Amino acid sequence: MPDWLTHVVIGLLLTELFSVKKKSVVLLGAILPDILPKIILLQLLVPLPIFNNKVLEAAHVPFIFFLGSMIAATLFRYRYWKIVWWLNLGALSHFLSDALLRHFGEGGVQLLYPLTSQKYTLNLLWQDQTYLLLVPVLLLYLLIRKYKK
Amino acid sequence: MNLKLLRRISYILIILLLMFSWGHYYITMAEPVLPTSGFIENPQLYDGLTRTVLGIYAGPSPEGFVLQYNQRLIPVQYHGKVIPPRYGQILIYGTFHQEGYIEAQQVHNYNYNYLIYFISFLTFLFVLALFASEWKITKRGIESA
Repeated sequence: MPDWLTHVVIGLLLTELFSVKKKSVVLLGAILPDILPKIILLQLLVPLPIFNNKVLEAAHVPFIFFLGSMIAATLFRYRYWKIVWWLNLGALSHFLSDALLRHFGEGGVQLLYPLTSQKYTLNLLWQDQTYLLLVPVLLLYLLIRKYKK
Repeated sequence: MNLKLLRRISYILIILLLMFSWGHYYITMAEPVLPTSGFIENPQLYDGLTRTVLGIYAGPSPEGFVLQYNQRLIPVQYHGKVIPPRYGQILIYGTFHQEGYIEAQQVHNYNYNYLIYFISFLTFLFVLALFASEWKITKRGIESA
């Protein structure tokens, strides 16, 4: 995963480009796919029981996220499809930026699941190099903000 | 059929589809169903398996280095040069052996990964704060603030 700051800045850029009224929904969509899979990071602090974390990684699949967002959107007293669109706009930016990452072996994002289980990645950046993505996106965001004023 | 009933049926169908997809994903993707943290207890089950493991560099060993994963130590055989990661973790791609060690083919240091986790946590708090400023939770659901 690129760090959540990068995901959120990409989300902020999209809120400007699409003139989103409720930015927090897009930003939430930009980090939600990582919340469940990253529970495993707790093992840095405490030993976790032996379990297969694939069950958590399902939240990181665009199709499954889309279905989940359709359920989550019913919690909002707002225009339903707006919420679904904003959540998925953020999530799509998340999945596409994750698809830039380098991996050993068979890493990547299952962009076309359930049509295929193929994982897609451009193998460009290691996770610790995402500042190379963050800096230009942040500059572009600030430029658009300035232009809009 | 009235609109309310149609909405309820659609909602139930989406929940069912989500449950089915989640289950399908787990069954088809969890191959082999062997979490890395179980390797220490039953290394013979993992013999020949090649996968990526992200853990903590716990120190050098005569054959390579020791990896800390889920608070347990796994010996790693690696013949290349390894520099301990700075405030971060080490990613290895290697083959598991029934003798209880991993034979690493490639390694990569995630330097400053702990800083990335910390920044990510702060970012999460920022998103929550922004969400709280734009929405309010009521008995009827989440409403615009």
